[in-house]
Amino acid sequence: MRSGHTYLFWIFSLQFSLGLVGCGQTKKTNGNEIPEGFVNIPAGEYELGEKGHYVNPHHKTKTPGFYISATEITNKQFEAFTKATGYKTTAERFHNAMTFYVGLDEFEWYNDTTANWQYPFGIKNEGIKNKMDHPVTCISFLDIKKYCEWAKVRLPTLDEWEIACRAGTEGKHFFKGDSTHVPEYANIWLSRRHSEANVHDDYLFTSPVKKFKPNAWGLYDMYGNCFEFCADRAKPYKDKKNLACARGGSWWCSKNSCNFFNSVDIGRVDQFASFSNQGFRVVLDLK
Amino acid sequence: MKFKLIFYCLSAVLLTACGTGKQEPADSDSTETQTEEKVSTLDTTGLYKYHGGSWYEKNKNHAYFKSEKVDAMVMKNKLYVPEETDEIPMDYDVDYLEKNDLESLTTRELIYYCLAYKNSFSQICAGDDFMDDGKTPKIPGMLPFDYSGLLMSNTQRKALESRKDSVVKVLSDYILANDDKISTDYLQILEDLHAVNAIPALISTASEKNLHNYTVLLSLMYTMKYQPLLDSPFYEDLYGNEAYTHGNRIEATPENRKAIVEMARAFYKGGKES
Repeated sequence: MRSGHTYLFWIFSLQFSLGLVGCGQTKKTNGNEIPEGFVNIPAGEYELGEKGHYVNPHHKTKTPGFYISATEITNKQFEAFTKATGYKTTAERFHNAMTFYVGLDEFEWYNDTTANWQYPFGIKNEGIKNKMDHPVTCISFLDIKKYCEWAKVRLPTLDEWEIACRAGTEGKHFFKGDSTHVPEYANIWLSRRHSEANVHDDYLFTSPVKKFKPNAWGLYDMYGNCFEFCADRAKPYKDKKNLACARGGSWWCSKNSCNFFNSVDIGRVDQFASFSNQGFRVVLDLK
Repeated sequence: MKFKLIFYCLSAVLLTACGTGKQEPADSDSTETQTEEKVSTLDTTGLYKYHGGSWYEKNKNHAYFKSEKVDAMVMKNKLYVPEETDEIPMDYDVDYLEKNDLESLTTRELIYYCLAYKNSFSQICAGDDFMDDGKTPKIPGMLPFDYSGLLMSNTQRKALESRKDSVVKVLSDYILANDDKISTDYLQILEDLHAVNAIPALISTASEKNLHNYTVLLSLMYTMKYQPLLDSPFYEDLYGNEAYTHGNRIEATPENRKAIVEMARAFYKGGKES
């Protein structure tokens, strides 16, 4: 482990042993002790974005390196937070969660006042009881900030998310081949329309984390399962204080609608909004 | 947690201005036109403390049916939710107007309310990330998403649907009179309402500077499953099984624009005759 990291390391070791962040061990890679559940993203200069892209144009960025969680934060991890703090999420307080059922139009969501992170599709549908290894959803950007404060982690920046997602690759995807390979790596919507379900889709909504292939650096679900909040806003939205940006696709994302299961695109959502396909992963600084 | 919901009643004068009767509102366009501000910018200070200013910031050069009466009604019902610790103000939007208040609005006021006070959320993961080659302008198959992350609620949509004929007429008249600044929000309402009766106004104002008119014409024919569109090359490009519905675009060449207009004209005529 690098000098100066001892304090953070012990904080995490303690939280992991309590099951708060989701691990209890560390492993060594190139002399660094990496908290289990995290991936070490090496320091360096990276080329990101895409030439001509309105929101994410081609650019270079440097990082001193960081740890990022290999998976999206799960229901189990979020439950540990709410149990420890008594925190009530935005959707629990304001009953404003936006959720989904098969049959809605493209890009159509509906407000179910009973939906929240424990019942992402409302209390009339199955809750998370048997889905504790699924990513937590139906949480707002503001809820995530509270989680991060408690867990002493933070959201990745847009650039950090992309560095981790690309895993050293160029282009739109982190794998070789075209977008027809996305379903090998990501839980996405397989039907042409959202008004109908694909009978071959094993996971119509969220799946357990780590059910699909990881990228070359061992990160799972970067292109699917849930749309992941990032810490900052893309340049066109810098002054839009009500917005938060998010990346990667989700179980809702299809090739005909959304199509954001790639390393480049950046979406946005209101900071108060809680969607049943919206989640996050976290970062731990090296220093 | 010590969250409280506090209703702010700003002034008795505002309350009395709200119009509480159940009487069907007089929807006199001529009367309203006299008070309409052709280019209105809303002072968002206080009213949009946190949550909604962006929509106006983006659209402030557009013309809207501004209504001080609606502003006052909304202010009366605004929920203010103090946040105990956050540095982010919690000024949360809900459906501001009760049924009676909604019903008391004229059509112009209803349109203003639905656009200025969008009460639901959108998740934007498509729409404005186009790679622009800087050459030929393009026509998308669907209108671009609202920039703000906000969307009309179901209550608002239903209120517009319940007065579809009147809403379509008001917006069509407006488009015809203001073809130099047609708001995408107005077009979105026409698209949402499947407003076939707006086709003449859309055709008559369609031009290179109003390319979104062509988008609405296409999406209306697509929604109504108009066979000539389904058989045309536009369909596969914009709406087919392999199409990225909010990303694919066709070139806005004079030939394509003419073909869309002719198809839409026949579609409208056929609908009238059937």
